Parts: sequence; structure tokens; C-alpha cells
Amino acid sequence: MMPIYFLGLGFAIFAVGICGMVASRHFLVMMLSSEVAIIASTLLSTMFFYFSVNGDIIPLLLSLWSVASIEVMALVVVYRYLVKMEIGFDVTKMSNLKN
Amino acid sequence: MYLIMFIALALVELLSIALIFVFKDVLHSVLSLAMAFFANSLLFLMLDQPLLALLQLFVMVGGMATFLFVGVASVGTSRFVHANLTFLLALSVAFFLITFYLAADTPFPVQQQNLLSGTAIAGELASGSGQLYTVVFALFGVALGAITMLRRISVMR
Repeated sequence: MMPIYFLGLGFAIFAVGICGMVASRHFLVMMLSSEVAIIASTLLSTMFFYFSVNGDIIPLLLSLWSVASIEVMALVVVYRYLVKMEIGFDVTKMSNLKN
Repeated sequence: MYLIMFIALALVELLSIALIFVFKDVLHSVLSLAMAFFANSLLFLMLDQPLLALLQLFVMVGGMATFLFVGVASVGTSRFVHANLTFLLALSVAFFLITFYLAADTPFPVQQQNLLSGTAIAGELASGSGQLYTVVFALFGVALGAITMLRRISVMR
């Protein structure tokens, strides 16, 4: 009975993460939303593997956490770029890039 | 008891995630995400997966520290409305209902209790997993506390 609750929670967190990226205009908050989606995917993948006989989940989780690490590195690179270009974190002003 | 603990942790996690979008200060948003990570690792403990709970905290220490550094550095450039909360709430509820309806409608096979392989803490370390978790949690707390203090010092100057 319990896994369905965990699945429900995982889907709820995933929904907030994905929709947070759409509804935000702050670059850092968008990155935080993707982290939320990643923690939801770790929870969801663990729950789905509960229904599997061959549940070798470690490679999958490591790949998920690798994606999270790459995202953090990308954040630093983009942050440096935004500061250098004096754009700020408002993604609605990203159109300044064309200038 | 198990269900009450689950509900409490789920509420803490969902509330922490919601606060990410409510807070105006990015630093507070990052701390709120850290709280969500901690609640998530406790959920892994509830699933009898202490190794995954440890890894969750360990892996995210670095990520949180980077986010905190950027959050501290970007205080001056973050003074605008970060998210449309009404739009976020409506979209999240719709997205959740669609995805969970599809998943709940799926006929799952019989649950295999704890057959995840490679996730057990082996040997003598297994008896000390509680202490390991405490050490990792302390590292997590020290990393967050140090950078938050950095912000305080920079504000005082």
C-alpha cells in the first residue's frame, strides 16, 4: 500500500519542479527547480525499482546525480557569463544577448 | 505510525519546495531546497535504504554549496518577482493530476520487498549506519552554516 503514496509524493514533487521552471523568471530559481525535479526522479526511480525483480538501481542513481552535478557546473559557467555581460538573473531580459 | 511519519515528512518536503518560490531572497530559497533534500534522505531511510540516504546527502553537499555561493554573490541582482505563484500552483496541480492518473491506472506487478541489489551497507559498517548518517548530516550542516555565515559577514562589512 505504501509505494503508491511514495509514487504520489514523487509525482507531486516532479510536477512542482517541472512547472517551477516554466513559471519562474529568475535564472537561479529555474536551476533550483530542476534540482527539485532531480530529487523527485531519484525517489520515483527507487519506487519503480521496488516493483522490479532485478533492481540494480545504483548506476541509475549515480547517473541522475551526475546530471545534477553537471547542472551545477553549468550554473557556474552561465553565472560568470551573465555577470560579465551585466545581464543579471532576470531571464526575461535575456533578449539583451542579441545586442 | 509509519504512515504518520510519511505524511509529516511529505508535508515538510512539499512545504520546503513551495517556499523556494515564495522567498524573495535567493539564499533563503537555497536553504529551503536543502531542507527538501534532508526530508528526501529521511524518506529513503523510511524505505530501508540507508546507503541511498547517505549518498543523497553526500552528493548534494557540493551542489548546495555552489548554489549558496552563487546566491550570496547575486544578492544585488535578484530584486524582482522570481515566480508567478498562481500560475505555478495551477500548472503543478494539472501536471500532477495528469501524470499520477496515468501512473495510478497502470497495473503494477506484485511488489518485490527490498530486492534492490547493491544498496545494502556491507559488513561491520552496517551496524554503524546511524553514526555514518549523523556524520554526513553534520557535514551537510557545516557546509550550509559556513556559507550562510559568509553572507552575514559580507553584510556586516
